[in-house]
Amino acid sequence: EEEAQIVVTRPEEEIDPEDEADFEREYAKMMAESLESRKAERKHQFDLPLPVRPKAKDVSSGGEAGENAADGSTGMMAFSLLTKKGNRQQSRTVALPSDSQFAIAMKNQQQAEREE
Amino acid sequence: GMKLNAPEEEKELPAHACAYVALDSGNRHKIILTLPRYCGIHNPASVVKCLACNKWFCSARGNFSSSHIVNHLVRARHKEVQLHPKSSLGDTVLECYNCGTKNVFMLGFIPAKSDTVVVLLCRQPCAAQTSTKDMSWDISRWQPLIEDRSFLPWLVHPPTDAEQLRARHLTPPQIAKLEEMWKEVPGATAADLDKGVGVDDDPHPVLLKYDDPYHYQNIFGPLVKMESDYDKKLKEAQSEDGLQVRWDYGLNNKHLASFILPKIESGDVKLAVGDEMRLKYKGELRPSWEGVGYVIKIPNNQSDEVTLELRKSPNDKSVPTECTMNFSADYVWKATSYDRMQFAMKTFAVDELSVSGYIFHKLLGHEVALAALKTQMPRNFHVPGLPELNPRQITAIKTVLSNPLSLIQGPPGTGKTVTSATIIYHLCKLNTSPVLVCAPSNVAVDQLCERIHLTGLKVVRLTAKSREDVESSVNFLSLHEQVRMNDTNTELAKLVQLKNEQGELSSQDEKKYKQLTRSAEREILNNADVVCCTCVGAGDPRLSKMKFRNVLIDESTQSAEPECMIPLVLGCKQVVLVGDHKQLGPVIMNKKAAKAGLNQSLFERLVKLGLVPIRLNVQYRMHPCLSEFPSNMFYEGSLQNGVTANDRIRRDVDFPWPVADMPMMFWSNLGNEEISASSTSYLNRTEASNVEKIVTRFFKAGVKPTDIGVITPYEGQRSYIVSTMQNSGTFKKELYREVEVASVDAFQGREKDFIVLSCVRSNENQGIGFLSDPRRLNVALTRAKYGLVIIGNPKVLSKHELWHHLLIHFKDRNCLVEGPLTNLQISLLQFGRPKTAFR
Ligand SMILES: [Zn+2]
Ligand SMILES: [Zn+2]
Ligand SMILES: [Zn+2]
Repeated sequence: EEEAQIVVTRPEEEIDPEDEADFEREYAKMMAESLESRKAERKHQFDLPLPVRPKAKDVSSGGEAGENAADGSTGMMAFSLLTKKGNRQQSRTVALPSDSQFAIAMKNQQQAEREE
Repeated sequence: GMKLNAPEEEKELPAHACAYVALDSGNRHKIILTLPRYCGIHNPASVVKCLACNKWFCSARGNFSSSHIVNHLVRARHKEVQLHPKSSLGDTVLECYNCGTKNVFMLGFIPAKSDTVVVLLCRQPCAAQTSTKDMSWDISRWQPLIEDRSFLPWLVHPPTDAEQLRARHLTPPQIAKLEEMWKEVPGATAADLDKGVGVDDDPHPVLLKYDDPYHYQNIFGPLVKMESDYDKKLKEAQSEDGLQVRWDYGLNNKHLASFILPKIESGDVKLAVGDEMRLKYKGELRPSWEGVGYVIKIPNNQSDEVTLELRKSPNDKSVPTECTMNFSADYVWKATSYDRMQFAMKTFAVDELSVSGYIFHKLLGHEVALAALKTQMPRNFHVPGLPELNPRQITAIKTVLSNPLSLIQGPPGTGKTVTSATIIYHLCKLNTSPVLVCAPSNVAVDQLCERIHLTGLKVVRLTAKSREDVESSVNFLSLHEQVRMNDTNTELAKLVQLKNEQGELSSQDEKKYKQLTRSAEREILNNADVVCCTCVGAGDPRLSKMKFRNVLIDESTQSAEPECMIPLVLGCKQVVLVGDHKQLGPVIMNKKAAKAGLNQSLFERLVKLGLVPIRLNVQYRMHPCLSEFPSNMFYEGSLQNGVTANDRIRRDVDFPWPVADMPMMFWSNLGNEEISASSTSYLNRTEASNVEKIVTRFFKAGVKPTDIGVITPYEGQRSYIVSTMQNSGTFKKELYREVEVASVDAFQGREKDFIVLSCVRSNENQGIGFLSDPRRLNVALTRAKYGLVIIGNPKVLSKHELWHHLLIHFKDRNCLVEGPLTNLQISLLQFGRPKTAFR
């Protein structure tokens, strides 16, 4: 049985501009401090090889990474997120909206490759 | 102490619910000690754990420009988080793949240049390097994890609108305050925010609208607790010594002890059938003994005895049936009904499936719109076994069937029960799952149950275990009786027989017996069209696994709001509340709790919120002259008469009505009121004596005692009238004993041919107490079918605006009289202006 469609209207609560400004300052401070603390950090060269796997095709037709999470009809595109567990590399599927910047870039790239 | 609910009944939110919507009522009332520390949004995809303080936060924004999690991290200056183990990424700690930093303000994703792979990298220093051409990653497209003050939605999903609407809403200042408190007390919760409101002295009054279910629970929880404490204190103070016991043996092989409890007379405590008492022997004829039992009979017009049915116990043989003196009895107070109210409110808060989204918001008083249900209307509304319906009743039924939440207001005598039974019938025909039908009192449930049974539907009456042996007209419909009568299960039948023969079973057999009983109960319940029980009974564990899409609550204006919640939180999507908020409301004993609004029914609050009740408008009870005043005063003149004056005149009854065709009179009595013997009540000797004269006059005219009711608002006067009739009446004592003398409250929902109302109050300066409540007056005036006599002091009563109107009404119709009953004269009394407003 479907849940009936309802529309709930709740009175908009006013956001206190002073609270807002206060939070804004705290937030900026947090960012600045974080950045500052990382300035002295020694640089590690980032050079991670891509995991060996077939290149993803058009995700909506069911590419490797697209098997579970992605479905063209839901407007999502499957990506793999690489993480480390201890020293071991892990790959997890994450669904990005098709209109997210990564997804759009990837689609453009695939388009370009096909045209080549 | 308080009894907490059994563990399997606990409904708690997972510990990973967002701490900003947290509520802990434990500090306020013990009963919900096990309430969630945290509650609200707890979808694993929408929460992350702050690693610094181990609290969970969601990505809802609430009233903020930033999500809860970001808000917390900034306010608390915490930086590291972990995803939920049940999220699609598992319990991943968010960290830079390259250097391992966990500062989320530094983290962001980069994509591979030509593959659908992403990785987390810190902005400084790891993502600050330049991308080389042969590198497979595109560092230039680094995207921060926190954008627009929220985690990327594809990593931590924003909760759905529905989830957010159900969650507790804290305002930004409340959250800021909570964050401050966490710095001192890491375990503080949202409930601690309103600390300082002295619950015992000054409870928070009920509201019209509530932000969310936690807010609701925060207001009602303490009120229910107050009432429960008060009830406990009152009942446990009822211990009585020196009782004389009369022993009997019940048909079910149980011992019956009957005795008189003198304190009950004082009227403080209402003993009810099904209550539990402990009987003790303290004499010297034998070793001391105690046993527990259920009350199966309370004092009535026939006898003042209380009868207790002792529970079977292994030492049954030691019951001191040879002794009759030196017993004492204590009341065994039970928290069950209060526990169930608290539990229902908790379920309402934490269980998304407890009520539909629409009902959820309606109950909280939110503005919510919904298209009418697409109901396939029955072609004919008439139901076999029930009377024909009038147009307004049909309108009511149509409206109810096509709406998820409706109110039916049934003024006195307007066919409320028939309308309810008809609605239930059609709901059953339209739906496949059983309809749940409740009312506050067992009497009301039984009445409705009987009506529904007449329509041919399969009805199950669920009674409390303590009432299984109480006689009722619908015993054959009760669940335990249906289990007993079900002979298809031979194994169970054998065990029942064995149990009856031997009194008890081996532990193995007892286990088997319980298991078979449970499954038989389940089967009967699942196959029922209608399940009937009291509102509190709906909290019975035997129903806890069931879902009831359709719920009808009759007499709903007589139950406190939390009581109404019990049947509602079993999954309702369509609810019908029947009642009349112009008649008596719920009885709340604790004055503070009542004053704070616990005495307001849900029905009444919904009316105040603008939900318009469908009012049944044709009354079939009263002589038209009796319905006129109540109709004008309480129902804006909307009551029509479905009976004619001719239908409601007893021409055979010779009675000195001042106007022959109007069987009503106000008999002016100027006798004084007195404080009664128990010093907690009032009596009025003149009025009592005149009640006896009127009753005797009715007897002479051939009216049966059971057709007469005497209403008086005071317990002191009630017992005084009973003894006056016994002592002064000229007919046989037994006849007077059959005349019901009771409070207004006891007469609600019922009718008699003739009613005598003794007002009692007669003093120059004080108020008129109970009588000033318009709802009580309404009930008192609308019980009689063929005639009404009011005995009171017009000089005193007319000072009150409402009574002033009533007296004018009687006077204008030449029905205000004075003098002896044998020679009544039209009173020429003039009334001054009333002092007080009645609303
Ligand atoms: Zn934290
Ligand atoms: Zn939250
Ligand atoms: Zn790094």
